[in-house]
Formats: sequence, C-alpha cells, structure tokens
Amino acid sequence: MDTDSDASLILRAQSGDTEAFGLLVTRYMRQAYFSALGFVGSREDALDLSQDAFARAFHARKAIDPDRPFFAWYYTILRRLCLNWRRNRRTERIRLDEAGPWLESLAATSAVAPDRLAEQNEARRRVAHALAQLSDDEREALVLKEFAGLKYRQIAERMDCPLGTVMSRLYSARHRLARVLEEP
Amino acid sequence: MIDDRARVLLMAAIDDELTPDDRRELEALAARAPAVREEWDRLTRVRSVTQTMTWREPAVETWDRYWGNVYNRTERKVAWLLVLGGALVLSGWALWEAVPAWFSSIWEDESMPVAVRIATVTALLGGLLLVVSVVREQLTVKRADPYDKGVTR
Repeated sequence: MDTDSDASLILRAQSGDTEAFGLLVTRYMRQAYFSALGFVGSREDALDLSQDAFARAFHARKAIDPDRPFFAWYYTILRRLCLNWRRNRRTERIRLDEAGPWLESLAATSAVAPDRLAEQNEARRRVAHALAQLSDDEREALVLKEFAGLKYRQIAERMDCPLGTVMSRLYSARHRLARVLEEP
Repeated sequence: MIDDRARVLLMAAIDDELTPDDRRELEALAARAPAVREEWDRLTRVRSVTQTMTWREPAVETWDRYWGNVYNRTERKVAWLLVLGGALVLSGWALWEAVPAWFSSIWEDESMPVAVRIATVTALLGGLLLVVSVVREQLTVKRADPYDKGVTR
C-alpha cells in the first residue's frame, strides 16, 4: 500500500532513492497522461510527453520543493513540453488530432430514444471537433475544468494566471462551442 | 451585449461555483436582459454535452509499463550524456590533431588544388557561423520563452 506523503517521497528521491520517485510517478501517472492528452489529443504522444516530463523531473529532482505540491511542479514541465509540441506541429502544418479519439461518451443509457441518441452523438462529435480548434489557453482551461474536474482556483494555479482570466478563457471556449452546436 | 461581470457570473453558474448572492445578481440580470438569459441557456447546453464526455482509457498494460518506461528514459538520458560527452572530447582531440596538419598541408602542398583550399576555408567559416547562430538562438529563446518560467532542467 502506497501511504507515504509526497514530501517524504520527494526527500527520499532527492537522496537517491529511485524507487521513491517511482512511487510518485505511479501516484500521478494517470493525471499526467490525461493532462497531456488534453493538450495533444493523441494517446501515443500523450504517453510519450508525460513520460518524458517525468524523466526530466527526475533529473531535476533536487529542485523540487517538498513543501509544495509535486504535481503542480511537474505540471509546469509537462505543460511546456506539450505547448512546444503543439507549436512544432503547427509550424509543420499538421492538424492537431481531433478530440474524437481521446474522448468517449459516458455509458449511454438504454432509455434514450434512438433519434435522441443520434442527436446527442452528433452534438458530442461537433464539440469534440470544435475542441481541437480552440486556442491553447482556451482548450487547457476547458479540459482542466470539464475533464480533470478542477476548481477555478486550481486551474488558475496550474495555468499560472488570475482567476478572472480562467473564467474569461472558459467563457470564450464555451461560447465558441455553443456557436458550433448551433450551426445547421 | 453581455458585459464582463455577466460572463463571470454565467461561468460560475454553469460550473456550480456561484454564491447565493451571485445567483440572485445573475437572476436579476437575466430577468432584465434577455441576451443574458439566452447566453445562459446556450452555455448550459454546451455543459450538458461536455458532461457526457470523458477521457478514453488507454489499455491496462499502459499503466503496468509506465514507470518502467520512465526509468528507461532516465537511464538512457544518462547514457546519451556520457556518449555525447565522450564524443565531444574525442572530436575535439581529433580536430586539435588533424586541423593544423590539414591546414599546413593545404597551404604548403603546392599540388593541392585551389578548389580544395577554398572549400576548406568556406567549410570552416560555415561551421563557425552555425555555432554562433545556434548559441545566439539558444540564448534568445531561453530568455524569451514564456513556458520556461519556473522550470528547472
């Protein structure tokens, strides 16, 4: 059972205990992978980037402050890697994968009528497509809110911006999605 | 027209982060301005769609192999650094040994074609220019990169 606190694992990792760092990785790998997925939209790249960020974090482990949340520190590395990845893809004129392959519907209820189900699927398809068109900031804010389930304050910390900016980015993202849903 | 205050309230309403006072304020706003009410409905619809979407889970083995893959990367990074360090020292030594000999031969050996002399000088100049350019870019990007903040490598 993994009951050690982040701080004690960080201190052990800093004194050369690789296994302790492994426990931190195991503790946060899902969050890391899904955070990367929200940025890049491709499962293979999300896996690659999140693991690369952990490897970088391992080499920079002496710089980790054990009194601060590990994942917030790790996220700054991951975020930079993902944004660089997106920037490179853009210059190569390769479209970011649409959200389709990385998002799925929650279990559909059998009580939904077929025509209603088709309508819901179409709405989800449109939203998934529109997510890929959002700016990096809008997309990040929306993904952290909708799929990671964070509170505004947590999003502001992750994105290193004021609370008002988070709300403004969320508004702008949702406003765009609303327009997409209304298209004929 | 929806002002900034209404946008903030709308977001908080959609995400269930409204205080009771804020809720009263938003409801009063929506009662006065139909545009706010319409926007509220539209955003609620978006939220109702996104709430039915979730992450697609990867295969279970992904998690089993995750730490192993990270560990291999850290190990390989050290290996690459050692290889690169060694290669740099060896290249430096080879250049130190070979370049003076090569230069003396191209200037002293009269049978050396002019084209080879010119090519040697241009290759040397090109290499120098590349090094300067890469170093300058690294310094500029590092200073101006907004995503570099707070990250220690």
